[in-house]
Amino acid sequence: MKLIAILVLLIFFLPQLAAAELEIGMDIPLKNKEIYQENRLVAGVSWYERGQVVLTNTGDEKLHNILVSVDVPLQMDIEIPVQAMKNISADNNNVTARIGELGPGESISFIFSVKPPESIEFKKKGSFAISASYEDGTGTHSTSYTHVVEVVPPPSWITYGTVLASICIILLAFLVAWKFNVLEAFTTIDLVTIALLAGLIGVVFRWFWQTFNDLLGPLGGLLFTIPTAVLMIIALQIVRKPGTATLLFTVVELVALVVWGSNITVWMGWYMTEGIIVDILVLLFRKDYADRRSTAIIYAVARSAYAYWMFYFFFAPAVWKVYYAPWYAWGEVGIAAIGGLIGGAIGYSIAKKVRGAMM
Amino acid sequence: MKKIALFISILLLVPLASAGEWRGDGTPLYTIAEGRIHGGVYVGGGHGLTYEDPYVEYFDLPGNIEYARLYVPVWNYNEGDWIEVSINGKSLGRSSEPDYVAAWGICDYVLNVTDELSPGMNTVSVTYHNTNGAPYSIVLVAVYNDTTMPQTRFWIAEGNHALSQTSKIDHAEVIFKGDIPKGTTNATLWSMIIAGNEGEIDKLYFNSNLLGEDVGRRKSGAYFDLDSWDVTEFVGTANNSVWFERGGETYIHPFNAVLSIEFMEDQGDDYIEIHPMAESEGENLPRAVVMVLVVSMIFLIYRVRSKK
Repeated sequence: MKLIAILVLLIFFLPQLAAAELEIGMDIPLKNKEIYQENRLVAGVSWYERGQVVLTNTGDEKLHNILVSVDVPLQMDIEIPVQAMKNISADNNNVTARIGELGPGESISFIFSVKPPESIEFKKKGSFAISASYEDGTGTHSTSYTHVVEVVPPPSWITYGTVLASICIILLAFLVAWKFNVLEAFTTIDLVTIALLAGLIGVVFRWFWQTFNDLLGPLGGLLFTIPTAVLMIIALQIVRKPGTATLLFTVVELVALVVWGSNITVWMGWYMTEGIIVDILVLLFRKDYADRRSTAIIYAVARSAYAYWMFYFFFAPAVWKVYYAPWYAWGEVGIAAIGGLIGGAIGYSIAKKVRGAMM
Repeated sequence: MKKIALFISILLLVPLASAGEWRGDGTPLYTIAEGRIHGGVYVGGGHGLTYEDPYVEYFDLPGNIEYARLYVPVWNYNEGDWIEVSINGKSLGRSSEPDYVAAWGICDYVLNVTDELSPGMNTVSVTYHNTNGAPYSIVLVAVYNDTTMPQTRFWIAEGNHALSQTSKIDHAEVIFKGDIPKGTTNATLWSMIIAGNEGEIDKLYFNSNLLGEDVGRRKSGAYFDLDSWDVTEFVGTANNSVWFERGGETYIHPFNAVLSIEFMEDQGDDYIEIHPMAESEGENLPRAVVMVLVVSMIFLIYRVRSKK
């Protein structure tokens, strides 16, 4: 008897349980997820970030009179861009959308834009609280969904800190150069060699890479990392003085600054660190100026990976307020390391021949 | 000391060779279309560099479109790249060669889409092949006819002019040629700028009147600024002009300037005049690249010969 009663109850309730299903999802910022980090907004950006709410009818009944309400966190300003769906409005910190009907299995989406806060002191989380009410054959239902985003502070104070650190690095480099008479150790020929190799990296190969980087598709960065590694190994083998790599990459950036107008003056110290790392490795390997293929590869991989790491994990968030998806950024660092490996191996062979021809 | 002086001298040789050509300084803005119409001009678009693929933008248009041009500015053009534009689901085919290209591959694909648009909501989507680049935006300029509206004089200027510190190009000017009667009710200027930076202060003038500072500051999306300006009080009686001043921007690319002036009284028959499109200047091998290569070769030969 009990079993029959349960069965009757199930028969009565099952259709209702299965019928009305409205699934809510959200994407913000509305950017390529393969490149940019999801659910992270940067305070202080000058533009509105787009968000998209996606509604899917996962049931087997048509839904009517869907009313969606999105509570926007942190009192962010809202704009409604022109879009296919028309019944969307924004009021204070709320976005409201009305959808006439949504068939079984169908999806519909709408977009709105929010202006991240001008400034926040610390990284904080914000929640987009989305609620929806809708009707089907069995009555009125409601559902809700909360989408959490992370709002990171405008990196201005980080930026100021990194500018200060950059200046400190430059001052430190000058101090070391002055204290140990580093520049005096370089002969005229050494300096001319460094200037020309820096010109090749900063002018010729930078132009070549920028112009033809799509030739290798996602591996386009190799067009720059390989020649840079080759020329760095040549510089190390020919000049053979402590500080060669630091001087080389400092001059590369100076040349790029003047020729291409790269706006990197305040970051110069950080660019110098690409060379400082290699020079430290040279000292650690007991003044091995890429005399073995293995050390040439180690130096080149270290420089390339570090340069790309700096770009994706330091300059992008701190200077350009862009957060790349971690796997994408690490993928690029990996490709750079491969470029260093190839460039180091090739550079060793070329450097040996060049050195043989010159000395 | 002598050798350091020589080192610095060599470094100074490089900038002498530079002219900032990269892929050229681009195409200065010029009037592609102008006319007089009972109706108006629609300018809209968005929404910055996002690397979305497809990149979609919506346009809610009036009826009776008489002339329409669609602009797809794209970052990082390289040989072999293409875009494919679809309007309301209909593909317009692939475009490989951009119409204007400048600097580090900042380019603009321009399509005449007069017959492709419908009254009401239009969906424009762009798919693309560009491994390391993407569209900055989709912008539509459409001239529509509405006999109930006053007569409007309009100019549509397009191009892609790389104003940059390196090439010492500090401003761009567009002159909207033609006489304007004294009685005008509304005048609107639209400007579209790519690659402006917040805090690097550029300026925009209309007939020498300052409209705004730091106009290019990525406010309409990453690296994208589309603005409309009420210039009614500044309209002159002939040859009105807009002036983009680079100011503190390292690079900035004016792409469009559109002016519409509404008349109080009809000034003659309606017409639309389409001007020939300017050829995008070809890519140059920058002089700095050539010079560094030549000096490097001479130095290598010198070193090898001095050993012998």
